Amino acid sequence: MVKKILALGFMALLSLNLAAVESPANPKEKAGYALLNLFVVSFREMATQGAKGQLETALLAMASALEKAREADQVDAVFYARFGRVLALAKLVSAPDPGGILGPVINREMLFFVHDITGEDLNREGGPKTIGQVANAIAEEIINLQIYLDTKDKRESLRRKLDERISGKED
Amino acid sequence: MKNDNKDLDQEILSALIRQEEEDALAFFRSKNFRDGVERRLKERVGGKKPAIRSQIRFVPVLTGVLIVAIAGILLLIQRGPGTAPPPEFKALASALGQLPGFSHPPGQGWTVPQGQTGTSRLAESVRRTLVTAEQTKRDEEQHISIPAGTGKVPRLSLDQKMEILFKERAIERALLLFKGDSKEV
Repeated sequence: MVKKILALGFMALLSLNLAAVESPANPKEKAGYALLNLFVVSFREMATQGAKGQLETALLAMASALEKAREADQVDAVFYARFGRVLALAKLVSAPDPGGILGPVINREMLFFVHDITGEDLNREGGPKTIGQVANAIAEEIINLQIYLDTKDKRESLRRKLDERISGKED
Repeated sequence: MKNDNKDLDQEILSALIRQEEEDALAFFRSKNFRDGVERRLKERVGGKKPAIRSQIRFVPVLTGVLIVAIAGILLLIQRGPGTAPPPEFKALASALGQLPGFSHPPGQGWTVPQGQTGTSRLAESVRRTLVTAEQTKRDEEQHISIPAGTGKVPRLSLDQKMEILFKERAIERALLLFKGDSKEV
């Protein structure tokens, strides 16, 4: 009997879990989710359509949306900083730099970003392999940000409980 | 003389009664009556156990079925907008379509025709749930828009994002496409 109940409970949990995958785990973070969705959808469109100037327009729109979301307190400082860094890096990699004046700055930023996110050393030879490393790190960071939003409520709740426990002990 | 006989009889009777009491007490002490009583009570209650057990078995089964049903409904309701209806939804809709009062002309959606009769209560309640879920989805779609006039963005699940980012390698392809020709990374 207990096995049957456990099996049924497991099935129910599995169903709920599958359902949760399809919807945002944290409905309060709508702006953050929307920015991440916009980023992914924009890059997908750019990769398939490849219209010149599209990336610049999309990055400008996302940067503006991020600023307004931060002003309206719809995204927190962590999301603002990390998503802003992703946008800045995408801009650095894609923006034209005749004469390679910005080369050292761009290389340094890419090196730090890739190392921070994936722990890899950046391929210094340049070319598609380096771009692939940066793109992979950006993709990882987008997924990290999504998981950050998904688990934000839980972390805040745990932090509150811990603070209450600590303050209770001190009293 | 008579009185003496009476006293003697009473004494004898009293002695007999005392003897009976002591014998009964000794017999009681020699046997474990408490265990006996408990055993007999258990035997009586044990005879009724099958009926109680069947009821006890029925409750968790019913609870499990309810849990699975609720989970299924939540699965249907929580599916993200903009995606094709899931197979479960289609199966349920198809099954419901065969119930009286569920057939409707194409394009009308889940509306309740006015003055319709003959619809079962269960079918009506399930249909209302579906209508509410559909309405909630529409409402959510209207509210999912970010500031700065970027318009509506389709909501993507983590799986969908991972597929676009890692399987399609959308970022890499876009960056390679738009990388400034003059720039040497």
